Parts: sequence; structure tokens; C-alpha cells
Amino acid sequence: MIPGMPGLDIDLIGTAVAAVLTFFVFSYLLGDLPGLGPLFKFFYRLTMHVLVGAGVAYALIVAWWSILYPRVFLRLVEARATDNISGMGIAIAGAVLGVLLLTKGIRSLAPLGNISTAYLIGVGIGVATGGAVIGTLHAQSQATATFSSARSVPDLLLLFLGGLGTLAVLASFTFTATGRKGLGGLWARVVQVISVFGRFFLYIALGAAFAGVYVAGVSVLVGRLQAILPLVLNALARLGIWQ
Amino acid sequence: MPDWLAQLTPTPATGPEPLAPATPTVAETDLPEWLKGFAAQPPAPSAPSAPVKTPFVGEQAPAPEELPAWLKDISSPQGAPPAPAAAPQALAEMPEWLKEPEPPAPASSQVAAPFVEPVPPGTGELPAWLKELEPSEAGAPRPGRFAEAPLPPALSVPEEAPPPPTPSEGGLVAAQLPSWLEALRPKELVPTSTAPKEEESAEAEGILAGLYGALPATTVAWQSLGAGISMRPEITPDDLARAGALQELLARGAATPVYREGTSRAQRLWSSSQRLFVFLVIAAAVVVSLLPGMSLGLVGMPELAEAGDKMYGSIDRLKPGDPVLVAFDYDATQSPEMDTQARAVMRHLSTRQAHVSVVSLYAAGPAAAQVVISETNRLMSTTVPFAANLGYVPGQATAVAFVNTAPYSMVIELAATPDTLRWWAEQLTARPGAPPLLAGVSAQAEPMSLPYLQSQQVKGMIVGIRDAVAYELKLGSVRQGEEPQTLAPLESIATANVALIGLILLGGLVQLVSGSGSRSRDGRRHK
Repeated sequence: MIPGMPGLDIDLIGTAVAAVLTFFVFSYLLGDLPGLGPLFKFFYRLTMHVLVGAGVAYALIVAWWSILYPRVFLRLVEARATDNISGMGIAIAGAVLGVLLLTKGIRSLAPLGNISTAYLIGVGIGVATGGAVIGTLHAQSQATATFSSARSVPDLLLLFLGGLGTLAVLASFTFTATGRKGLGGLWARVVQVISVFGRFFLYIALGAAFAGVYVAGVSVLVGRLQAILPLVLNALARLGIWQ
Repeated sequence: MPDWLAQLTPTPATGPEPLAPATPTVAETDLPEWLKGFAAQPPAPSAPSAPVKTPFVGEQAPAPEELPAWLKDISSPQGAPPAPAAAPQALAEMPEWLKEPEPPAPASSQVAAPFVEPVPPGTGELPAWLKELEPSEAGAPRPGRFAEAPLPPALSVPEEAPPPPTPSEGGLVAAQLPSWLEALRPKELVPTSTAPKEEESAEAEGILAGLYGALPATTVAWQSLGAGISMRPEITPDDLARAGALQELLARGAATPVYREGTSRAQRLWSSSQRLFVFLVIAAAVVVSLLPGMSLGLVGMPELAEAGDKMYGSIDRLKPGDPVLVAFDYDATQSPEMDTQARAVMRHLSTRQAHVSVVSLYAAGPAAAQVVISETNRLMSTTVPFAANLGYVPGQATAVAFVNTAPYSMVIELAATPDTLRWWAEQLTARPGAPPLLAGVSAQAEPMSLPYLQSQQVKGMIVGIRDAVAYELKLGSVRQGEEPQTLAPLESIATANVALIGLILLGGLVQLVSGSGSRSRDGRRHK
């Protein structure tokens, strides 16, 4: 309840604002209508500006309260209080690298930001490469080549199909020169035939991915409508339109 | 001829003085014997205005009898004019080469002879290398060694006297320019008849344009660089073809989208109304299923799949107080779908009295997590928060690598995109002794997430709203009589799917009819 304003709930106001903004987003579909089309587009743009502005402001606050304050400011204070030289050095180094990253926005000082960028890219690539090799390449290859998990003929067939599909998809991204003779030409024809099956598997995978995107979109739509529908129904009930 | 050049023209009065002094200024005693005789004689008449070929100072003039025959021929050319009648008597005692009167100097071109080889001494005194230069036949002067080398025009001495100048119409006499000065004349003013030859390599550009032989060293320099370098390289047909293709690409320019100007407003309105029609059909299908008492009964009670069962069992085996790390890797744009899963999982963890720590790889993730935590606290009527929101962890995959997962019994990843699940799966797989990973993913992340489930890197998984509803039903958190409300989202999605199938069929039918109509029109047009 809002103090001094009985009958008004902050959650109700929030739901109402959310409902209005949701309808503003949907009004994009009406932007091409003659007459009121520009008005609907204005509502859509207004909502987008609100979303971006709120997102940036929220990210700024999170960056301060989740990163800068506890990981830099507090660490410096604690390290100074305990005479922890190494902790103070780490905090200062991180702060300096962060400040150098800000210079990327100034053309004359942009090269200074390369130090921070190099550090970020180096650490990121090192971590990502190790994880990709051990966690994806090796693990997935091992899982694809393991037949011991097949407990029945359909499982065995499925595993075989999976292995064949993997190789075929890889072959579909192999580009060979045509018109060659000998073993090279024979290999090129084999790869071309396999790549046809690979593209078939790719079509299925892309279709499944698109279906998943569609279902996710409809799920979000359902969630939004489920959130604002009670408010609309209450309003209609008060107007006597809905019981 | 310009004035400054005219001043350089020798006049009879101001001709170049011979390098040897005409009047002896040295004491008589210092003179040699052969010169003393000259000193007693009256001075010789003034020499003609033409320059005299005099030996250099300090050289001893050879005696006439010592002169070789070829030199005598040179000193007395056949075409030379006769000596003046009033020759002094002393000339009889002079050597032959001095007796010879100098040729008249009607042409100013003879001025340009500053460098004259000294007359060699007597034959007996000639060195061997010089003797070789002697003419093989008497009377035919053998050209010297340097005579074979072409001199630049500025240094060359005309061998023949130029023709006498002819008066022009205005009474002016055309000046006879030396060849080196002629070469400096602008190209536009050079008459055709006097234009130098092509071999003299006229400069084609720059401030030296039109000058011939201005840079004679360039020819030698290019030749010294080898035969492979040519100022006019030959262009092969292949190079020409490639250059033509490149020219075509450059001339084509950037591909810019072309909008049809002929599209009328009615056509644009029809196109936009199609999108609006699709939206209205799907929205109506979704809304109708959400309205109370409007269930179409398209879906029954969902059951968890095997992966969902594994996830449920893993959480259900937790002991009270077991630490669990939950990652809310989604933001507000995916929360309508993901919150359904999060609510079910968090409620289950709350019932198991687990100590939950919440992190997020998204900056907006902690806010979404806090909404679910607050709702779970309210539903479970717990006064003490069962979950600690640790907030945003920056660094994506790097952050996952440095998150200390050792204290936790399990890690639950709620992922709206496959990337965050991949980061967690990769880093936990690479870490020995890592806790098991469970996942709740959105429908769009399912195809890319299933491989990690099949490889046992993810121990259990629920997907989308359907598994979330099934999880809620299995958890028993749905009260009696609330099943239709719980199933409403699934009913809504199923109705939307049916509506979409109907739209696809309708669109295909319309396309089929309109396509056949357009084909028939095209066929009539071709006929």
C-alpha cells in the first residue's frame, strides 16, 4: 500500500505500468496503419527508450554495487587496514586496467586501452580454449564414439545415425576442387556425396532450432499475457463487461 | 636572341683574349732564345676576331720542323682563307703554325671552343700511346680516342660552320643558337625540322618536359639494372583479364537494397495487415486458453521425461543444509518462460532445506533471481531467507572458471541460451572433482543443450514450460483445484501451435492458388 493513498497498491501500479508498456510494444504491429500508424510507432519507440534507459541505469548500479565497490574499494580498504601489500597491489592493478579500458573511447588515448584489452583477450582465450578442448571437443567426441551406452538395437541405430550425421555435417563444410583426376578426384566425389547427407542433417537441426525459438517466443507471450490478463479482466469486470 | 645571350657573343673588339700574353711583360733576360727574336720585332697586326688556337701557358711551342705531317695538315687546311696581304715581315721567322693566319670568324658559333687539345710536341717526343693515335695515312687526321664518345650537346663542338643567317622579313637576323641552348628551347616552340631525334629520350613530364637529353644518366642507369626491368613492361592477357575483372568489381559498387518504387500504399497496407492478421490469430489463441473456463482440453497432465526425473531425483536426495549453487543466467526478456522453471526448482530446494547461493553471469540476472526468491519465501512462509543472492559475476566463461564450486553439492544452471550452459559444462568438466551439473533450459536452447545431457556432462535437465509444469505437478505443489490454472500456459501454447499450423496451411494454400494464377497469366503472356 502507498502511504496516504489507501486503495492503491504498488504492485497494482507496477502491473498496470507493465501492461501499458506491453501494449505499447505490441503497437508496433499497428505502425503501418493509416492515420494512427505514426502514433503507434511513437509508443513503440517510447517503450524501447524506457527499456534501454532502465537497462543501462540498472547495469551501472550493478557494476558499482557488485564489482567496483566490493572488489576494488573494499579490498583496498581492507588491504590497507591489514597491511596486505599483495592484496593492495592486485586491487590497484585491476583498477588501473579498468581505467585504461575507459581510454578506448578517446582516440588519442585509445592505444593505452590495448593493455587491458590484451589482458582480457589473453585470459579469455586461454580459459575458453581449455574448456572447449576438454569440455566439448574431447567429451563430445568420446560420447559420439561410445557404443557401450547402447542398450538396445534402436539405441545402437541412433548412435550410428548420430555418428554418421556428425561426419556428414563436417563433410558438408569441406570444400574440394572439382575436375581433379585420380585419387583426389575420387575423394572429392565421395565428400560431395556425403555432404549431401550432411546438408540434410543440417536442415533438420535448423528446423528444430527454429521450432525451439518459436516455442520460446510463444512461451514469453503466454507469460506476459498471463501476467496482465488478471488486471485487464478486473478492469473489465468493474466496467461490467466481464464477469 | 636575348640580350644576355647577345652579350656573350664575341665581337672583334672584345674577343676572347688568348691565354698567352700578347705583350711580353717579362724581362728580356728571362725570355728564351727563340722568343727574344720576337721581342725585337714590331708588334704583329691584330689578329682576326676569331679565337686563336693557342697552346696552353707554359707549353713550349714546337718548332716547325718538329711538327708531324698530320699536324701540319691540320694547321693549314685547304679551305682556309689566304693570309692578309699586309703580313708583317716577322712572320717569316715565325713557326709555321703561327704563321698561318687564323681563319676568319664570321660565325659566332666558333666561340664555343673553349677546350682545345694542345698541340702535341714533336713526334720524337710522343709517348707510345700517343703515337698510336697518329693517322695511318698522311693527311688524314685520325680522330682521337675521345672523338668516338658522343659528347652531350652542351659540350659538343660543331664541326662544320652553320649556314649564314638569313634575314627575316622584319630585317632581323635569326640567331644561331648553339646546340646545347637549342635543346633548352620549349618543346612547343621547336620546329619540326629542328626537333631532335627520338633516340635522345625527351623528358615527358615534370619541369624538364620537352627537354632532350636532360637526364642522360637515366638511360645508363636503367640499363645497368638488368634486362628484366623495362620502362614499358609487357602485359600478359591473363593480367589484362584479371585487371578487367577487378575493374568490373570496382565499377559495380556496393550492393544496396533496392526498394520498388511502384509499391502502392494499398500493397504496403495489405502486407502489414498480413502480419497483423497472424499476430491476432496467435494472440487470440493464446488469450482464449488463458481465460477461466475456456480450456480446450488439448493437453493432459504432463509427466517428466527421463532427464527431468534425474534432475528431480538429484535434488530430492539433498540433505538439509547441503549447499547448492544456482545460476540465474537469464534476464527480464526471458523471465516469463524461465521463471516457471526457477519457481519449481527453488521451491523444491526450499522443501529440501538446502542452503542456496544464487549467482548470475548476466548483469540483469540478480534482479530476476530476486523476484523468484521473494516469491518462494512468500509461498513457503519462511521468515529466514533460504537463498543468498551473491549477485552478478562478470567474465562469462572466465567467471565460471574462477567460481569456487568445491563447497557445493551441486550446481543448477538456469539457462535461456545455450552459451551459458556450455560455459558451465565445459569448465566443470575440465575441473576434477567438480559437483554434478543440473540444468533448466528454455525451449530455444534445447537443441544445443541436449549433447551435454547425452554425454553425461549434465546429469539432469528440464526444458521449457512443459517440463516446469510437470516438475510442479510431481513436486505436489499444485493444490487441489488449481490444476487447470497450472495447465493454462501449456494449453495456451498448444492452442497457439494449432493456430500456427492452420496459418501455415492457409498460407500455403493461398500461395498455391496465387502461384498457379500468376503462372497461368505468364503462360498467356508468353503465348
